[in-house]
Amino acid sequence: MHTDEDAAASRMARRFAAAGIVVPYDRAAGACADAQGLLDAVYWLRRPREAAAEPGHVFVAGPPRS
Amino acid sequence: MTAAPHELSFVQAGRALRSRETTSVALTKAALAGIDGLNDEVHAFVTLARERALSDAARADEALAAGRDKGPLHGVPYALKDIYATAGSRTTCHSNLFCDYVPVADSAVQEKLAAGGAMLLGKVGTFEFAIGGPSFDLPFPPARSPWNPERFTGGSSSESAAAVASGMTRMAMGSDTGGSIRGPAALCGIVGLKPTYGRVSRRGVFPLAYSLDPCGPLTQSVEDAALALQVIAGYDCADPGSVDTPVPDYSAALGAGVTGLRIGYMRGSFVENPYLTKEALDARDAAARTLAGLGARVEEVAAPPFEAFDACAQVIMFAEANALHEQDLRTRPHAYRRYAYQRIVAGAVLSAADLLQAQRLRRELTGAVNKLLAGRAALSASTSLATATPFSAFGLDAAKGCGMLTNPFNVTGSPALALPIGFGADGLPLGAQIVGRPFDEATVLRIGAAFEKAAGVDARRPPCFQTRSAA
Repeated sequence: MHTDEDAAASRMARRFAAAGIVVPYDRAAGACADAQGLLDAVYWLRRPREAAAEPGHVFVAGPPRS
Repeated sequence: MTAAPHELSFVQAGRALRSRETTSVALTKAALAGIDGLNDEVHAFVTLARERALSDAARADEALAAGRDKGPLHGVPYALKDIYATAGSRTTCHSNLFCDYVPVADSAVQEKLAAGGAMLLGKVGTFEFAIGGPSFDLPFPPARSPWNPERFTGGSSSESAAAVASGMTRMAMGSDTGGSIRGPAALCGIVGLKPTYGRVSRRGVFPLAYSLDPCGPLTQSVEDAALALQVIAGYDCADPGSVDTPVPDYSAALGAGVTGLRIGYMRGSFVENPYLTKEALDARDAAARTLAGLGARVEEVAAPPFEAFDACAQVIMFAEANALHEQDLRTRPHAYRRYAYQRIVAGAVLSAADLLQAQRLRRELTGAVNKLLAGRAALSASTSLATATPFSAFGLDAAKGCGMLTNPFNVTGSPALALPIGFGADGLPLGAQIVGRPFDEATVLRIGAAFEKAAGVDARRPPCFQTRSAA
């Protein structure tokens, strides 16, 4: 019987495999936990923001600079 | 000269050297004796340069006698974190991968310190590749806190901090990708300076994350940090992150006080943090009152949430670190120890869009912090949210979770000075940081010096330091 944890571990293993990494069995728990922490952090990077809201003001004039 | 050699500040040591009350050889011998007596307990040094230090000290004495004064660090000993390349002497990065690596050239910082007449005592350890955690499966054991050997020392420059706090050396160089100078300084009760990104050359220093890494000193006082920065600061075209901007006299304004300076207190950035202890909050508030009592205009300011800074820092750090180690992670994963491996390999799951979104957010966050600094001399922020965690709190797979609010200023690249502000009920240090405008380390040091003098917490040293003083 597969658990949610198994499914999550399997998904993470596929992400690592896509990057060309085979995580050794004895390191898997820690590596997956740290990777999940990073993926959770990504939430903070993806605020609702259109392309033109680029902070470098590449697409719009933005505030005047001194 | 009445103080013991390890108690002398750089200014005091310099005065004693120039008045012939002591010699560089005597200072170096005293430091080596301290290391011999303490290193088995503190686990700071991984490589000693005993003969080299003594011969360099003899040359420094000869130079002073001949009237060749090389500056504020002439004749004083120091240590380097073991990611700084030293020609002809191993530079292990505290890893099995680099155990036998002997560089052919010195790092830029080592070049400058040697040219300034200082003596390299040896190399102090770190976390493996300056990442991971306090691992017991590495070539060298992790540092033990001079305040309590069962407690964690706070970050990858742990051994630098332990060496300074215990009095083995007055100054040790560290690096600070996410807080690895300021965290250990906070937990070991000393001063740690993260200069502005681009202020100090990183040539010859093994990187963790190219766009976040700065080099800086850990010292026993703010004045010592200013003098160390004076020697190591400056443009270097061989470091792509180096910035060609004038280096001021960092000691000039140290005694100028803080009267009239506007200082933003980032209280809201940590007051709701679950790791924050009441005694740490009380100490932070007391520190703000001390600055106000000295004449500064301290006002609370609201910054973007810590979680946004943290996410930005983590994604950039681990994407960059993963890129650097990618080949070795694939081909010889067990050459890395557990903590470093699992943390660096985690970056492999990030996408290019994740990294670019982090860079995008970085610009926004940097703009927000610089806006807070507009019209203000500096910001007062937290480092540690509690006293040091016991080693027993670190699990097999968990190297994190010690509540340190340092990485926002790696995201922004701002100069930040960590300094002790008090002690917890367990007798362990609590810390804070002063954050400045880009390349304005002078103001940060000025505020730090005023606080240090008023608070007097720098006078309290760990038991092993005091034992040497009494001997």
